[in-house]
Amino acid sequence: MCALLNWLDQRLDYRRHIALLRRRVLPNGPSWWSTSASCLMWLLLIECITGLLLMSTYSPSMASAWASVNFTDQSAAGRFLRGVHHYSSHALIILFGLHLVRVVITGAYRAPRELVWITGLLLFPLILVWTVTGNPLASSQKGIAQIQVEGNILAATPFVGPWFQRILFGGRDIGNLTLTRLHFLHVGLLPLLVGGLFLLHLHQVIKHSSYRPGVAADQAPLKPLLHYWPYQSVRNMTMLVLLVGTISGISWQWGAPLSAPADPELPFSPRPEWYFRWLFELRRHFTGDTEFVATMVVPAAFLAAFMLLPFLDRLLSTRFDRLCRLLVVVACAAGWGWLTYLSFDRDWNDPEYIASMVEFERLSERARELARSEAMPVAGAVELLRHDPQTQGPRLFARHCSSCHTMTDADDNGMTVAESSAPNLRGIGTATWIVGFFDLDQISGKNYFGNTAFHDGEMKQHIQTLFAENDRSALQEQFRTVAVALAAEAGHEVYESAEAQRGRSLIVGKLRCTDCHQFHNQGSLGSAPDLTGYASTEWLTGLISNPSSRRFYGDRNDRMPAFAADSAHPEFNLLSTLELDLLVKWLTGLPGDSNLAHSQKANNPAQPPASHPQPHEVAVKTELQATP
Amino acid sequence: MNRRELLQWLSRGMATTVAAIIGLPGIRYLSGSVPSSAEPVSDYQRLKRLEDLPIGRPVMIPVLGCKRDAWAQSDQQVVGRVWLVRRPATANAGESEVQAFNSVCPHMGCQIQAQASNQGFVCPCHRAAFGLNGQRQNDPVSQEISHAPRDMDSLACRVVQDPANGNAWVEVQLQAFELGSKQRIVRS
Repeated sequence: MCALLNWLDQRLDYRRHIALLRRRVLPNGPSWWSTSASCLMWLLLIECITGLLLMSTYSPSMASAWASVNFTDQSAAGRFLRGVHHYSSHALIILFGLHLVRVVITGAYRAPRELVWITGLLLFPLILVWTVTGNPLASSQKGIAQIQVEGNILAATPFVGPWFQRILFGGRDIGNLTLTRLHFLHVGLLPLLVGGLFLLHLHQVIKHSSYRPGVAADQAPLKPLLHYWPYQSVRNMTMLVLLVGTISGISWQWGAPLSAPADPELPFSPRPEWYFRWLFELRRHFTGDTEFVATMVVPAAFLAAFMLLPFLDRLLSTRFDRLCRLLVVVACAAGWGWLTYLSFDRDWNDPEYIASMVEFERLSERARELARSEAMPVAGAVELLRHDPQTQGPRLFARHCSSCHTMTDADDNGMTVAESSAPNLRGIGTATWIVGFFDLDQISGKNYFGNTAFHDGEMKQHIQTLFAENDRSALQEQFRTVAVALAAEAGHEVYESAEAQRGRSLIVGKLRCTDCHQFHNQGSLGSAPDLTGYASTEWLTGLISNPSSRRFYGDRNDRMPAFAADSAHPEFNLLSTLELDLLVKWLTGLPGDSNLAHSQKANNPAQPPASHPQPHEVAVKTELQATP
Repeated sequence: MNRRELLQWLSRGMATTVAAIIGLPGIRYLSGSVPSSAEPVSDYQRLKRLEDLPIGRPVMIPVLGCKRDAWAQSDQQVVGRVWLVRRPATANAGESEVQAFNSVCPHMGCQIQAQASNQGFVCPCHRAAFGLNGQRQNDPVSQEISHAPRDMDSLACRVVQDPANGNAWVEVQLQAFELGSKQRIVRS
C-alpha cells in the first residue's frame, strides 16, 4: 500500500500539495468566523450529491414531474434526500449572506484579493438562480406559479427580455419545454458555471491566503499563526456537523414540502421565496413604467456597487474604514430585513390571503393523500384533484347549487345561503335525512319544503292525514322503517335487511305512498317523484339533469334549473357529465356508477340497487304476495 | 507576416471554426422558436346560453381547444379563460348585452379573480383591481395605484340566436395579448 502511494506521489507530487494546504495559515489564524467558507463548500457538495441521486428518479415532463417527485417521497430514503436537498439550499443562502457580511466587516476583499471577492460575489446571484430553477421542477402549483411570474418579470426586461425568456423557459407558456429547460439549467449549465467560478474563487483564496492585513508580506508575523490543519479544520467540521445535523433532523421529520400538482384551475396567490420578498415588496412602490427599476435596476446596482467595493474602499480614510464597513452592512441588512418584514406582515394581515393559503394547503394534503391511495393517471397528477369528488364537490355546489340549497348540519355549520329556497342537502338519501319528511314540523321547516312551493303540498297533507288516522308512536316507528327502506334504495342501508323489507311493504301497502309515487312496479309517474332507486347516484343524476322530467317533478318543478338536459350539446350544459358525476358522488358520499371518477374506492355500499334491477322487482313482488 | 505568425493565425482560425461549428447550431437550437402552445383561435366560440348567465355577477368560463405543448398535443384542453359579465337588459341599447374579458392579467399574466363582493375583479399577484367593466382601479383597501399597465383585455363578444332551438348564445373570440405594454398588442 505504502509502495503504491509512494509510486503515485513520485508521479503526482500530491503530498507536497496536501502539505501546502494543511500548513496554510489564515490571515488572523484559525477562527470560528472563518468556518462559513468551508461550510459553504461542503453544503454545495452535498447539494450536488443529493441532486445527482434525486436525478435518478426524476422525470421532467408536465405529465410525470409531480408524480415522479411524489414517488421519490414514497421511500423513506428518497424523502430524506429530497428534504436535505431542499433545506440545504435554504441554509446555503443564509450562510452565503453571513459569509458576505463577515468578508465586508473584516475588509477581506482588499488587494490583492479583489478577484476572490468578485468571483465570490458573482456566485451569489448564480446560486439564487440555481434555486429558482430548482423550485418548479416538481411541477407543483407553487413552483409553477412562481416561475410563471418570474419568467414574465424576465420577459419585461427591455430589448433582450423575450429572447431570454425563450432560451431559459422554452417559450412564453409554461409547458413540457419549460421543465426540460429548467432541468437543463438546474443540473447541467448552472452546475458548470458555478463549478468553474468556484474553482477560480478557491484558487484565488488559496493563492492569497498568506496575506495578512497591516503586515508587509516579507515581514515575519509577530506571533507564529497556527496551521489550517487541524486547528481551522476542526472548527470547520464542528460547524458542518451542527449544520448538517440540523438539516437532516428537519428533513427526517418533515421532508421537503410538495404542494398540489400545478393546475391553473386551483386558486392560488403566488409569492416569491423568502429571499426575494424584499424585491416583491420593493416593486409595490414602483408601478407602470418604473417597474423595471425594482426588478432590474436596483438588484443590478447593488451587485455592481458591491463588486466595486475593493476599489471604493481605497477612497476611505483608514481611521474610519472599519466603522464605514460596519455601517454599510448594518444599513443593507436593516433595509433587507425591513422590506422582508413589511411584505410578510402585509400577507399575515390579509385574511383573504391567509384563507387562500389554508385552502391551498388542504388541497395539497388531499393531492398527496390521493397519490398514495389511487393509481396515478397517465395524463398526470393534475387529474387526481380534478377527478376527486371531495375536492370538486364543494366547489361545484358553491357555484351551481348554493344560491338556493344549503348544506349544513344541525349546528348550522357548512354551506349556508342568505335566503334558502330549497331543501338542506346535507345527508341526502340517508335514513336520518328522509325521516325529516315524515315530521310535520320539519317538512314545512327551512331544511325541507318550508321555502318551496311544496310547503303546504300534498305530501304534507298526506302525512297530516296519516297522523290523524293512526297511533302516533306506532306511525313514527313505521316512518323510520320506511326511511330505512328508501335509504336502502341508494345503498345507504343494507337492502336485504328485514327492516328494509318491512319498509318496502309499508310503502306500497299501509302508508299508501304509491298512490302518488312510483316505487318499482307499483304506482305510476306523473304526480310525484319516482321512489325507485331514491336519491341514488343514478336518481340524483337524473334529477339534477332535468328536474322537470316526468320521472321527477314534471311541470310542478319549483324553480330548479335543468343542469344537463341537452344531451345533443353536452358541452353547453351547466354541468358536464364529469362535473355532474363528481357533484352527485360528493352529495351522497357514494361511489358513482360511471368510470369517470375513480376515487373513493373504500366507501362501498352494501349493494348498489342500480346495477341489480332484477332482484328488486322480485323482492317487491314477493312482499306484495305476502301482504294481504 | 512571417511563417510563424501565419501558423499562429491559422491555428486560431481553425479553433474558431470548430467552435463555431458546434456553438452556432447550439445557440440556434436553444433560442429557436417553439411552436406556440395554444393554437390561435380566430373564430367565435360558443360559450354559454345567455339565459344561464346571471346579471351583474361575473362568471369565468374556460375555453377549450386543441393544445400543443412541445411534442404533446391534446384536444379538449383549456386554452384560455374568459370572464363574462352580463349587464341588465335596460343598459345602453347599442352596446352588447354581455362583455367578455381575457382572464389573464395584463401585468404579469396571473389569473384575475372576481372580488369577493362580485363588484369587480382583482389579480391575486400584485392586487391590481378592475371594475366590472374591466377598467383599472386603485386598490380598494389601500388606494394604491394599480400595477396593471392597461385595463383588462376585452374580447370580441356577440349574442346570437340559434334558429334551430331558439336559444340565445354568447359567443366570444379568444385572443391573447402581450403582457406589460400599455397598448393591447395581439400575441402572434
